[in-house]
Amino acid sequence: MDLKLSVSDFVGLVNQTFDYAMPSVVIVGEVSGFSIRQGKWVRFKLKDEQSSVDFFGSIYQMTTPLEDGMIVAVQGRPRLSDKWGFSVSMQSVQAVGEGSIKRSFELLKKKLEAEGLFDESRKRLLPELPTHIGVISSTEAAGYVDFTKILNARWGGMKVEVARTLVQGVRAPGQIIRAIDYFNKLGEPPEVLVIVRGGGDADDLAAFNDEALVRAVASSRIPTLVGVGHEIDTTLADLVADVRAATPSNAAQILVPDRRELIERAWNIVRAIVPKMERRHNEYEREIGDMLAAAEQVVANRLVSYKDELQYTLKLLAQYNPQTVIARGYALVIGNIKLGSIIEIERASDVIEAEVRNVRQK
Amino acid sequence: MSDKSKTIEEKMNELREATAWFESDDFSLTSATEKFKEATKLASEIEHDLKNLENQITVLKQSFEEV
Repeated sequence: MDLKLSVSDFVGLVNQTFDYAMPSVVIVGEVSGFSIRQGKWVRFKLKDEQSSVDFFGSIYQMTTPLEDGMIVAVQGRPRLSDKWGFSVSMQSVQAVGEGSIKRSFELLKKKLEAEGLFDESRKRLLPELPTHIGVISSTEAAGYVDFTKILNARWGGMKVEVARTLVQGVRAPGQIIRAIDYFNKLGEPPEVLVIVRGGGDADDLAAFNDEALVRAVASSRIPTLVGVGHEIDTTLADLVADVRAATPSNAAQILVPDRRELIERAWNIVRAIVPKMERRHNEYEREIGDMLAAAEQVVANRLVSYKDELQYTLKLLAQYNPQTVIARGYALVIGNIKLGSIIEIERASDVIEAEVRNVRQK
Repeated sequence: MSDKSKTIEEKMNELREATAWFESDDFSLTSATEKFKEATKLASEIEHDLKNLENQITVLKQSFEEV
């Protein structure tokens, strides 16, 4: 039996069916008839060789700049509006294909550059030795495996919290944004937020050129380190991050020092002590040698001085020797000087005995 | 035995200070050997600590899928 419904009931039933059958769908096609009304409402069609579908949304859901002719993947919900008919309500959009991605990248880069989002003055330093880090990645991805392998080899003792998200496709930006938000709202947030993803083609990396994601990275109160793709790949998330790593492995290298280098540095410090000890030892030896030489000199000087003094004293003693006086022609009188006593008078060549016959006071 | 109460940074700083002592006016030949032994012990502890540091990696259970 056919259902008989009012128009409003029909619209309600169709939307209920859409919600049940296709709560969210991703449609890929070429943009045409793109327009923004009242500075807010976005309308366009996606078409391919045979079909065309209307899309509707606000500029806040337009996560990448759009132009007619671009190939994009739009995530949205099919809706039947009671006034505007059928359209897909846009939730997010991503450029697809090298040409569209490049064009979208350039348009958004220009816009964000004008806002100063890539300015060097916005860049913050990462902690020198983080103890708590937040990682956003797909745990199955090769990039994540490379990152943790290098991280564990280089350094340890850190608390590493990993938010598992998609890292490609239209749903990836939303998940990564929610993960950034989760870490930023933690009571004890990590000291650094690392977003990593390995290499891929332009479509794979397109999530990291999503405007909302780029803005979320820019507004993170936790400093960010982004390592996406290979060295030659550049995404807008890279440009807006506080620090950009060329690859996930490079992100681990930037984040922490190599423990082997630190061990080597510690032993180098110890090895450097040896020449210092030798130098100080040589200084002591030289000082002792100098002191001994000075002492020897003092002793030598004293010896010379004593010798001179001795010679002088000997000379003086010789002068005082009575024989020296006698030799000069004087005589030495020996005996008791009183009248009648016999005295001896010694001269250089003889000794005279004489009697004292008179003593006269001078 | 490694001194667990000190961090690696603290031990590295102690090692640098021990080296500086050999250049300082406090240097004495009598204490030099003892100080060198202390520096060697510190370097061994740093090596031991660094080699045994392990990261605690937790993959969050939260889903970041849109609800």
